[in-house]
Amino acid sequence: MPWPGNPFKIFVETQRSVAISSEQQFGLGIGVKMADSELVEQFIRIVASHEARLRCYVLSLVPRWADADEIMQEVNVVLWQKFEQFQPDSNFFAWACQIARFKVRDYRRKKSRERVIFSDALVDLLADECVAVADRVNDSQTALDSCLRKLNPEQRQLIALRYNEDASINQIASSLGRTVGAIYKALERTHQLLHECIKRRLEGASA
Amino acid sequence: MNPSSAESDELAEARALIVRLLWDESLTPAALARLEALMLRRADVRLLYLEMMRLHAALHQRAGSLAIQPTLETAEVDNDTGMSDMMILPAIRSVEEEPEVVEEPPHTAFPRQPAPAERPRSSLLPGRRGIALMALAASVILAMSILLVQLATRKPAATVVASSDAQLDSGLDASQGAAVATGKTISLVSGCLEVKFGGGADVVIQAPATFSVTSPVAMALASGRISATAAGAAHGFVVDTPNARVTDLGTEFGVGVDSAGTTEVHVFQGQVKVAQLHSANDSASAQNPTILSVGQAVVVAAGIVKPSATGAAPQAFVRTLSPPPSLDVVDLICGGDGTTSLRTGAIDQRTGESGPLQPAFAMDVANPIYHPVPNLPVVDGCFVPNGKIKIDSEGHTFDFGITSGTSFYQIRAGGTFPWPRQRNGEPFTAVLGGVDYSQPGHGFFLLHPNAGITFDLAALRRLHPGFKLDDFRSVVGNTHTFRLANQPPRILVLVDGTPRYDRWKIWPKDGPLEIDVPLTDSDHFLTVATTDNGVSPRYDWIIFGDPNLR
Repeated sequence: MPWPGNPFKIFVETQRSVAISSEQQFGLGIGVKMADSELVEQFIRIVASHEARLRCYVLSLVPRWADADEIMQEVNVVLWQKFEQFQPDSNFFAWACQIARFKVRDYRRKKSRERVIFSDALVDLLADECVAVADRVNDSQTALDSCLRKLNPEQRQLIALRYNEDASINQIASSLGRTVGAIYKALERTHQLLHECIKRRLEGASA
Repeated sequence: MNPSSAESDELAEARALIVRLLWDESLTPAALARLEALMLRRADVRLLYLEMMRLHAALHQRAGSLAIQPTLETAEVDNDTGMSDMMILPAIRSVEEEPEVVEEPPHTAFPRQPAPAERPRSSLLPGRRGIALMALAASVILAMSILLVQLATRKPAATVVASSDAQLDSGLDASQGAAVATGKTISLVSGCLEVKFGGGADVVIQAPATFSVTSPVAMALASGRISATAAGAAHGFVVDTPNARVTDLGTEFGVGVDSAGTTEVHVFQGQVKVAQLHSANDSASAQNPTILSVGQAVVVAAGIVKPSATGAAPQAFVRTLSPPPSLDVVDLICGGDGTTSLRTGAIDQRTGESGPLQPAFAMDVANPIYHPVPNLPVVDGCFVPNGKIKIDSEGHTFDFGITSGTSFYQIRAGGTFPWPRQRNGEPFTAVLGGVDYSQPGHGFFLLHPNAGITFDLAALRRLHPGFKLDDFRSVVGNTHTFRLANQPPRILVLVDGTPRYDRWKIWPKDGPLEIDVPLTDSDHFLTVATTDNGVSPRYDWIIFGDPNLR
């Protein structure tokens, strides 16, 4: 059974007499016929609620953030285009991951060799194993709040410089008067602390 | 069973490589091969990688809200380990300093921008990347949301909000409030049109241009020039050209397409993303996007995205149809559109070259001719006055009489710039009548004889539709304080080759003089020049303070 209130079906069933489609009227060219605002909200809500997980999934397969961003834009368009095919009693995230996987494949095929980081074999492995990990990204974010508080000020400063300020390793090393090697060591330690802290909390929540 | 020492070492090695991958997004081929080998062989390394990527994604989601300074919460006791923060191994202090191994970042069209020196590192506000990433993350859903709401309510995707003598082909309505047909190719034959998109973007289109509105959040530009302001909810606005897709990341930018299909993109505020398109309808082929920041520009042609050496050119784009109260002439010389208060620019009167020029002092000019200034559309040209000489691109001439035919220093606008020195060793000063025109809130340009500069008033009127040029005003004076007996310089302001202000001798003791040259709607070129009256350009520190056009 299709998603209840699918805007395409609603259009067919209730707007048939209105012999004008918004595609004709607005020339949008994305196959949209008519959208009921409530149903639109449903679609946006479900996509938004899975955005972080899906982004994590894509990011794991193409580790560069900019690449993941490009792919996410394509994925969102396809999700909308194929929304009619989505079965509401099925797993939206798993369905979206399938679409994302195809888009990652397309992206890798089109990209020049230097932009492809991992081999196809590894990406296939990761794609299979990634769903379960990415599925808990929201829990991970909740745990992150607590774990960040457990960093010492310098560790917190490193993380903030990286993620708030987009500072490069060299810039951080320069501003803190440390060597690049020392900063990398500190980062490894900081990521390890956060990783282990989050892992403990997720395992505790699952127990 | 506990992992063996070798396995633990491999796991630690993998963690180090993953952290480097997260932070630099690049590893040496050897390091990458090693990481891949470990991941292919060991499921626990893959799990580590995936969990680290999840952490990376979660931290990105928090970008902008990560406090740098320690808080009271820092002293919280860790329930997991029983340790307080102070007991956790310090991240940096305890690390033994190691030889630096700096991996070269991958080549990109633009080098990573250095962090602004004045950025407050303790700011709790979202950082540059944080803002950009959040905008990116939200853009698709936001754009979709706007698009669908537009569909539901059947509002037009774009509406005319202002026009300046705009004429559309086929008699289409260009009046205020008129809906712009979606999906229809429209030619703007003359004038300018300001259009408000349903998604919130404001776009000014300059004639001649051919364009279409494709949705409340996107347009296509086949030829011509547009400028777009996409603030707040309008982020994500898209302009497609025949060979590029320009996506707003929270910004103000200009896009131009010439008759050969070459695309220019200029960023005036914020950032935009530029990706090449292989065909007009091929969104999937938008590859290798380039992120442009404020002040940058690129040209997309023949499959290449080439950075512009001169950067963004505000003078080349109409950015608003609301006329400004006045135009700052210093800003015009520095590359602005007269409203952006830019400082520190230079023009070499011997060549027409402009930009951040190296200082040049005693400058002999064997054959003085009029030079266009190609990088500044509102500056028609420059010259070294000597005898009868052409002073604008329409061919108006003026006889300045015999001068020494030499110059000293380029035409300089500030702010500050590398000061020349007076004969007694004292540095140049921009102080006239007790006012230092180099300080914030003021501006000046130095026109040390022999030098002349011509502004294109018609270009200024095109750049600022509706702006009425009534007069040129400035303070002028000689700031040299160690004046030896000599022939003082001459100052002229001419319009279309005819003097409207002419002072033959100006001494330092004269102090600041006020110039007010009336202008009419038919005036085309405004020329400002100084000469040494045929003796020597020494000691003639002629500055124009707070020059403006009203």
